[in-house]
Amino acid sequence: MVITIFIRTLILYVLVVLVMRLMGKRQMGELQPFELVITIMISELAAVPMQNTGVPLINGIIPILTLLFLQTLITFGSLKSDFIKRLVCGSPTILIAKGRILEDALRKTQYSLNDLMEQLRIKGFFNIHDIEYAILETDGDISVIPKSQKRYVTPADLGIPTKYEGIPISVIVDGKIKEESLKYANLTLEQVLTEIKKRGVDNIQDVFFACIDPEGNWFVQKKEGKNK
Amino acid sequence: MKVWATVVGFLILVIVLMLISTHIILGAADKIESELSGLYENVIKNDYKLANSNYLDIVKKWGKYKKGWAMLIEHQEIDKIDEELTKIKEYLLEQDRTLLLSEISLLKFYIRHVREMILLKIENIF
Repeated sequence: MVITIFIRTLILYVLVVLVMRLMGKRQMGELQPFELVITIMISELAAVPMQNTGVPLINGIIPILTLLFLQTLITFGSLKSDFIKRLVCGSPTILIAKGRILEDALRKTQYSLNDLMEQLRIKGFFNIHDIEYAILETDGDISVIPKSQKRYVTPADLGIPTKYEGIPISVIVDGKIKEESLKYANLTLEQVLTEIKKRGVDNIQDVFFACIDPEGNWFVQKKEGKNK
Repeated sequence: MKVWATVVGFLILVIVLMLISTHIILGAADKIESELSGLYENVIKNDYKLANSNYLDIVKKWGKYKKGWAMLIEHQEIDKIDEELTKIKEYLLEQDRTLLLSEISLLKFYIRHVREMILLKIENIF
């Protein structure tokens, strides 16, 4: 009995992880209403055959696969058709327009004034005067567009020229070299070894983390306890 | 294209699984039911020797079908059938006609119930 439950749990866990991966990265972050429904249903469907050995495993597998199938179909449909997207995900609602709170929109979305003020504060806007637009997105988040005089100053506002900024590339993580990063950064193993040796580390295995930024600056940190 | 391949692949998988499960359950249910009818008639005729042989055939066949059924239906249903077979065995030894007939009928009902459950029917969907 114990080993049966153990094996069933393993199978269903692998299946659920696989299904969540196939559903895409969005599933892990902000969920659309239909994605939330599918996620809740999957967890429930997996839990029942996991603990009840009287239920055939297929009774859990088929509904989970069916939900994956439906999710794929709905996502595809909403990508291809605006109508399906509106039907399934709804559409964003403007709550503040041109600095004015839209009472009708608040009523329709069942969003209280207190909720709105709270969300604005969370977003860093404490004064309603500073806001030009606030939009309630389909995933329940609020996007805020401040008035032009109240938004953050950018280098463009100040007329300051900026250099291209890429992203730093991780080259060594926990003593292991990342071959893909080497290729991406156009580096050779010898170059990496030279750089870490310059910083007093002899082996790649002794490096906890090493990365290179687009300007060619290196960051190298030794593993703890490897300091001579 | 990839999405349509997934859709078609999944539908094919569901149809194949449905056909396989229906074939496994219906084929076995038909055979066990006809054996049970033979058993029932022999009990009515008070031919317990033949009835005993019918019973052994059913047990042998059920042993084979059981594994396939366990993957498709709730194990509670299988337990009920096992329970009925055990009762029939005891009543056959005792040659208790009335109880034998009622238990055979009950077993037939359980088998028919499984058969009904597996079919694609409006009642089963709602």
